[in-house]
Amino acid sequence: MTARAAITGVGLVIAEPTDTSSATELALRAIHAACDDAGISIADIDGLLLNHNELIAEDKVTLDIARQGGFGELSVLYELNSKGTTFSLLLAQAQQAVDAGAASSVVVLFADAAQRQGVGSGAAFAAMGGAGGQRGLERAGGMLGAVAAYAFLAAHYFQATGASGRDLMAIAIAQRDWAAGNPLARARAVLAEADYLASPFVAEPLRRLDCARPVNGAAAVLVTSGRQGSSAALRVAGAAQRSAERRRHAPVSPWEPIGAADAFSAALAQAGIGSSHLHTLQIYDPFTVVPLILLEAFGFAEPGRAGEFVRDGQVGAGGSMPTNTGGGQISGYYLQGVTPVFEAVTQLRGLGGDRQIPDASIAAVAAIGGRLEHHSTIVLEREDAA
Amino acid sequence: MIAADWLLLDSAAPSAEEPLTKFLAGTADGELVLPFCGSGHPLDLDQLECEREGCPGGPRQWREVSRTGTVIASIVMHRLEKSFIAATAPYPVLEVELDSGHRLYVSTDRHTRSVVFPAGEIVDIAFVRVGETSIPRIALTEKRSGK
Ligand SMILES: [Zn+2]
Repeated sequence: MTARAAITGVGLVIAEPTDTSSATELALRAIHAACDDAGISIADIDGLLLNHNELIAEDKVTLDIARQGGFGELSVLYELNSKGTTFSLLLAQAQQAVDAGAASSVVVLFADAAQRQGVGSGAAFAAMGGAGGQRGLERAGGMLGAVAAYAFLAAHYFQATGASGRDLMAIAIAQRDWAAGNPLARARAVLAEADYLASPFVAEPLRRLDCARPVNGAAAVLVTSGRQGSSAALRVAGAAQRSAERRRHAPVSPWEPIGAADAFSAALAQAGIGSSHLHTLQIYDPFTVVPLILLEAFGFAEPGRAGEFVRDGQVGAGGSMPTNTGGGQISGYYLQGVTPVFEAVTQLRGLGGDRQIPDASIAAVAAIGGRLEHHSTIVLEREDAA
Repeated sequence: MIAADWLLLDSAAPSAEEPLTKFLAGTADGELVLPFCGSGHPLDLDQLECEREGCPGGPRQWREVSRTGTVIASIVMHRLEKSFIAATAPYPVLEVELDSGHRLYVSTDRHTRSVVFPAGEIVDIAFVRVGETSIPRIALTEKRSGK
């Protein structure tokens, strides 16, 4: 157990709408796919880090999967939750566990089967908040679903910076351009301005095409001390987290991503790089306004100018910071924190096909949780480039 | 007498359990009762300790606050979730910062065709009945409601 840990296997399952598999069934399929990728069997796994899924009350993966699946004895077993940043941060936790010799093959797991046929994802998410507490009171104010909360973030962002709906459209179009090259993307046709503007508002200023596309699915990432896999091994070269729950009173900022810039710069500093060294950036994008706000927080654009940065082609192919290169959660698929991690892995392994960034060897994944309250950045690097 | 709501179905009523007990007891009497730290700083409904640096804190206090506030942002909800919404047209939601510093997300106390509210507008809070609870909304003038 002297070899350094590395990401050597990944498995992703995106369920078709007709697939009625449970979250646990999807999870086991993803784990087996990751094992095949890494060249090991499920019995070789000795660590499981489960990404807690707080979105749904029923049908979720629990630690019972350690019994339900074909696992042997585990020396690391946790279910953890840091909202939307969990999946990213668990990669760093798994790497630490393997580096420290606590385990030799740790799987990081997320699964979600919240979507049900005939029930709109919006309705499912709107009911989710429940009747209790501050969220229950907000619901009685007509704030239904995450889309309403993010519409407020967008309204504040516009007021504070002079940005506008045109900037949201720029992100939607840029990410759709990337999605054309991603076979897993839910929406791949070219998005014209007129198509975007014909998209109905859900919570104004956010339109349907500003929103992520939730899917049922599961994802597993194997961090091992061996090099069994056939794809390039990856390391987490830096990881940082910042959280500042957004209190609902003055003088707390009602919209700014407090801590996001610190998490980003701390992770890059750990990796010993500056942002100009990144070959690609993957941002957790439940709504188009999030990449705009974070591109500015990370210093890629001045306040209110991220839309211009995007319209200039800077996040696209050949741009200075190719961002959300699989279409993100908006044109790709929404599987919480999995989406940006898997796109980074795909790019670093050189498996991006039509959307591959030439010679990509170092990527950052910036994840968020809550209402832009929880932030993480991890830097992923190819072992052979380190 | 607090009027029945035009916007929400009773299914959208909040739970009167903690941390909403004192707040909803206040709204039932037509008052906004909100928590403060021992030094008078506004707290969230479920917040037990003041976050301000150097604040000595002290026991949390609930007290009635002014029903006047300022719109700091607004959105228009176009998706009408049929399990919670009775309205058949897009409705506004406003983020109102009360003079006390507490922020509430509220809609209007009656139907309005003019759903856009500029930030900076001064508004007063009224109440509507949703299920067994009284819910704060901004009070529209007759002119504003378009009736
Ligand atoms: Zn205080």
